[in-house]
Amino acid sequence: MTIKLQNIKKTYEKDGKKKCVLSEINYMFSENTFYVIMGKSGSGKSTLINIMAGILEFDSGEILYDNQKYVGDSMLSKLRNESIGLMYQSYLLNDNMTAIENVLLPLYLNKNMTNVQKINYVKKEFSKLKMEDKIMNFPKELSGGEQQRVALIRALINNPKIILADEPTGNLDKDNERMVFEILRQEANNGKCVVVVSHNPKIIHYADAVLYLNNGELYEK
Amino acid sequence: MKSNLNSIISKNIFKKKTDIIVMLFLIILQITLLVGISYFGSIQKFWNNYSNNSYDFNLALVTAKDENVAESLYHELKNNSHIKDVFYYDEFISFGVFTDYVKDNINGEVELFGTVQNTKKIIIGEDISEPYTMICPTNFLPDSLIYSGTYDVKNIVNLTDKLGEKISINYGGKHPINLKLVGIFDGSYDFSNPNACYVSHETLKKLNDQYQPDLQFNKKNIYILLDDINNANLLMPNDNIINIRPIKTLKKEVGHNAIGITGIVSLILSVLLFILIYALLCRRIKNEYKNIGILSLVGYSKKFIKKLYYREFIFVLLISLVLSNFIAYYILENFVSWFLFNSPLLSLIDVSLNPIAIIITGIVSVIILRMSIKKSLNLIDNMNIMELIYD
Repeated sequence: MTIKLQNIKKTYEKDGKKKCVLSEINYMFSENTFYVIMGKSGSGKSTLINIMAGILEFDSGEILYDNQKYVGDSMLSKLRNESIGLMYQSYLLNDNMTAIENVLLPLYLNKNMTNVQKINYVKKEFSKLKMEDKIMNFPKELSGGEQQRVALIRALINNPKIILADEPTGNLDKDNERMVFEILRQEANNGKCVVVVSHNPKIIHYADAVLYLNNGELYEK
Repeated sequence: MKSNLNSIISKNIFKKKTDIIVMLFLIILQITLLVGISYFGSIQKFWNNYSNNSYDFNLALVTAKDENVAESLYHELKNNSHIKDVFYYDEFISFGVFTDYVKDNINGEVELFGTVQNTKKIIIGEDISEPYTMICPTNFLPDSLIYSGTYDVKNIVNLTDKLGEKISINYGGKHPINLKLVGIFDGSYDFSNPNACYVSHETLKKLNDQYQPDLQFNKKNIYILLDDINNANLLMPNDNIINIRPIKTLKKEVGHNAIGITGIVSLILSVLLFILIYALLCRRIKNEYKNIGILSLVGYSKKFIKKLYYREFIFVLLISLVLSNFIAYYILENFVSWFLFNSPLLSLIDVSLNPIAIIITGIVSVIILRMSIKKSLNLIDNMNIMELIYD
């Protein structure tokens, strides 16, 4: 799936002053590619990735997913569930649910699988990342690396065509960081469109394209 | 392990203080409505039956202008087609002590009414036809203490065994007579007192002639039994009559008080419940912002998330309705002994759970829940997911 940004503009208002963080962004994110977006803090990287995820409204412009426009909360929610996997630095797991229940959350909306199939499928994904003994643990009982692995399994569980990650390794040690980058690389190799916002220069070694966001403009280097 | 939406709901229900508090308030409101409306409905039903069938509520006192016209007025009234019976007070009522029922806690005193025939609903036996026969009520309690408020329905005497027998009575408290019990009438809707039995006018006249020959009637006061008390107005204007006054009027304020109190309490509770649910749910949604945001991130629409809240409160509503119906049923079943214990009239009201009360309670509960939840769920519409992601 491709993501086409056309003249995307976003401004924030702070203390009565308007600040333009994205200024007429035009870019086409393709499948089978690992993109990294870099830039200074406050440059609008997270804003851009959240706009691409359909969870933040923009002032003007258009986003096309596979040349199709998605409008409204229902359509965008469906798109996120079926076609977009999201990862954040803070993992964003539900503390009241076990690891497996957190991963099952996006699957609850999938009507093509039975309950048993869903559970078996999720268990298999946990074992791939050597997490099978942690499925009944609550997030607070997991380390940061383990929580991010749960978040990663959840992001990939519906086999999304697009993976968007905002500083996914920000809280991880080197081993976990490498593991996350390798998995995302693998996903890009499998035909996915992977877009990662990161400050970590090591990610460049895994990326197909490195983009910079500066003064509201996105450019490739 | 469940892997469907119910698991999300069960994660919340009964584990949230909000649900428990809302359920408790809902139950209080629902019980108020169920008991109040059922009580009101039962009283209304009782009054309707009572007023439609009662002998006593069709009695009126006619006051003649003076003694000179009283006799001619008496005959004039007797010929009126709406009037079933005409009598002077002392022709109508006397008393006797039922000697079989003089016990430690009751003194056996019973009023004897001299009445026309076929004005009572006979349950067992037959109506008065012969002289020196009488009928007594199903709620028979030969005890003048009922006037002092110590009436206890548990002491009601079952007269079935005495049917057809002569009962020993001290007429006027001092003249031994026997009256044959020929029938037992329905005291639940057609009686004045549980210690009142009825004989014919003729019997009472004979008894008075024999034992109270010097009885002086006040002929200015004439009692009439109408076919319908509302027809009393048809007798006026009449130059010989000063006024006509019904002997008994329905104390409908008992019912009106019940529905009035129910209405006010329910209204206050409804407003409190609305504010409570709104405040609690707003606070809860704010506390659950992160989890709501997570649902949104993985593809749940806001509409869907709202549905989850609605579903949760539908469970709360259903459980509260079931519980409050049980509690209300229990309260109503014991209501008579709690509140209506001392009143011979009201103790016979059959207070039971009214289907209309259940429907109204359900509707009121749904409306309040719907309004308060809808208002508080507006927070989800205005939610900024970005804030929770980077909080």
